[in-house]
Amino acid sequence: MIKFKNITKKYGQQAVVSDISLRIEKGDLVVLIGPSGCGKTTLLKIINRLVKPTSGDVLVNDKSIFDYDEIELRRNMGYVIQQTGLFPHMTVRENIEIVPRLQRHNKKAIAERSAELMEMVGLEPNIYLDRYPFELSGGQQQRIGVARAFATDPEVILMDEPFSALDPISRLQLQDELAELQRKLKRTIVFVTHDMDEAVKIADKICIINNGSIAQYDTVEEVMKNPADSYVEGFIGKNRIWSSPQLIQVKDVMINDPVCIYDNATIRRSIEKMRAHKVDSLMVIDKSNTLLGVVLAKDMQLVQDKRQQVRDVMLLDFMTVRPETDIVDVINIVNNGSLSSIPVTDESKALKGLITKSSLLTTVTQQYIEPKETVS
Amino acid sequence: MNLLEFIFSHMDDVLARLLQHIQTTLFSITISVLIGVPLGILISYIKPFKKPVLGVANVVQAIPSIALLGFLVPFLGIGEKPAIFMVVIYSLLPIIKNTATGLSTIDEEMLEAAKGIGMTKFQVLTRVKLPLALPVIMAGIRISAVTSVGLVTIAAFIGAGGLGYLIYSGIRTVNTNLILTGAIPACILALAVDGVGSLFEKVTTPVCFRNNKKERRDKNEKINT
Ligand SMILES: Nc1ncnc2c1ncn2[C@@H]1O[C@H](COP(=O)(O)OP(=O)(O)O)[C@@H](O)[C@H]1O
Ligand SMILES: [Mg+2]
Repeated sequence: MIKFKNITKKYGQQAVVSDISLRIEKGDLVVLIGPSGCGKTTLLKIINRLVKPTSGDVLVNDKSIFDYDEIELRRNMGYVIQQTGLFPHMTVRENIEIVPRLQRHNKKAIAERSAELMEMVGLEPNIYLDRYPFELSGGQQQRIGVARAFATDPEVILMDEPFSALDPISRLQLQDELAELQRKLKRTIVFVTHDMDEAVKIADKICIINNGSIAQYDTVEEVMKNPADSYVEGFIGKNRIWSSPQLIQVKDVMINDPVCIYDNATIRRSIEKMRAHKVDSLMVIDKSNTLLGVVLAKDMQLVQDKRQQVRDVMLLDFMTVRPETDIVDVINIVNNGSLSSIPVTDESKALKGLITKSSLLTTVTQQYIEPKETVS
Repeated sequence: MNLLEFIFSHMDDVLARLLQHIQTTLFSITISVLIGVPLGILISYIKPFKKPVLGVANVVQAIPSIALLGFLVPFLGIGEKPAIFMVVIYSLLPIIKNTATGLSTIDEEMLEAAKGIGMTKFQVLTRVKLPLALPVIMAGIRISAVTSVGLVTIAAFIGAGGLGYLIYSGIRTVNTNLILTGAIPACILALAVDGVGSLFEKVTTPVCFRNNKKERRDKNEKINT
């Protein structure tokens, strides 16, 4: 949808954006994030040609933005800024309708669209359409800013710290509503912020910018779990993941090589194996690594005939989880279930790993132990 | 004869001259606006023009009006023409200056947003900048208009007519009543122009800058609850 190709922007000798290449897929909400002055706004404004890059190109729908008519390009991209950018001398209606009216769209259609947009941003059209921006709260004003951006039904929407000036409650509310709106409308949104919590909440992908270059561009999960470098790590905060534990998946915390036994082994053999590895259960698998069952030490001790094969005595009725399951669900399962460990399998029942109470505990306690190490 | 009787006995003449005075003033101001506002817009867009244009307007205003009139007569003759020329030249500065100031004190970020949502430069000017700058521009026009009333009086000196004619006749014939018959209506006219100007200023002030902003908000709150 939007493709940056080696974009550089210099003011004088100083490069504010250096050689950025970036691909934004249709329907994604991409957050550009970084500290103040790192070039986020500049990068955003290059997309709608408010800033002319020193070199490089940006393609929108595979066509260079410089091959579009400047005005047309902008009318097909919503633009929302921090200070709302609403016109104070125009009513809410006039603000929302300005571009459609300039385009001489049908009056009735415009009016219907305005009411629709107001509903969309959660404001009663009858009450608010004929008010002036100064008669609205900050949060309401920014809702109008968002409504105006959607007025021409653009495919792309650019937002430059739209919620940063709001009080925390309105901010959280508008973030939720934007996420909800995006879930329904699936526009391509480029969103600038310096607030990591905001990014985590709304982003499909985040692009962390350091001094005009991309430090990391990936999904929120990936960036959190595998920060590309110490800059990214410092920026997102080391224990950031714990403010969104739902992002941690089973595969991140599971034991990758659980102790297994083939289904045709004897019970005697299984007891020896458990002793040797100091575990109280074994995963029973066949030659193709398919999980067939589980044997527990306490059950095996009770079996009289230790020459029996494990497949005849193994447990068949137990919970399994997928590698992609999130940790919050797993904790619930562990809490409610009788087993102290849960096998992890993929859709073809192949054994991938094992979650145990202690592996969970280790993961959870890491966040408290690590900061101490950095202090000393 | 006392003053009031004098004025009433000359009522027809006074009214005719007053009308002529108003006409000359209005005509001059219209021309000043037609020249001054575009010049103000121009220098707000083309920065290098700003200093020379304002400089010239400043210098012109510093010339004493009588001297300027004398200077104009050889070129434009006597009568209304040089009078209008002078009034226009004197009233340009406040109009140019206020137009330029009004246009350049508008929030930059909002203007960039206007551009960003796809308004052309001309649309930004006509739909955003001018409406927002209008009260400041109107204030400039008001100052010019009030000054013009006085200038047109002086222009009677070169045969432009108007209320000034009565004053000059009075001075020549040492007739105090005649001087006052010209001066009092001229004074009232200046005040009236100021009043009308202030009315225009109020009317053209966008709702967002008006004093009753708070009242509106309170009213809305009442509706809400
Ligand atoms: N018009 C300009 N002229 C000179 N320097 C600029 C201009 N605009 C931005 N800059 C500089 O470019 C850098 C990046 O600015 P910006 O993109 O606004 O950063 P961010 O939005 O990440 O805070 C800053 O150091 C800023 O001072
Ligand atoms: Mg910025």
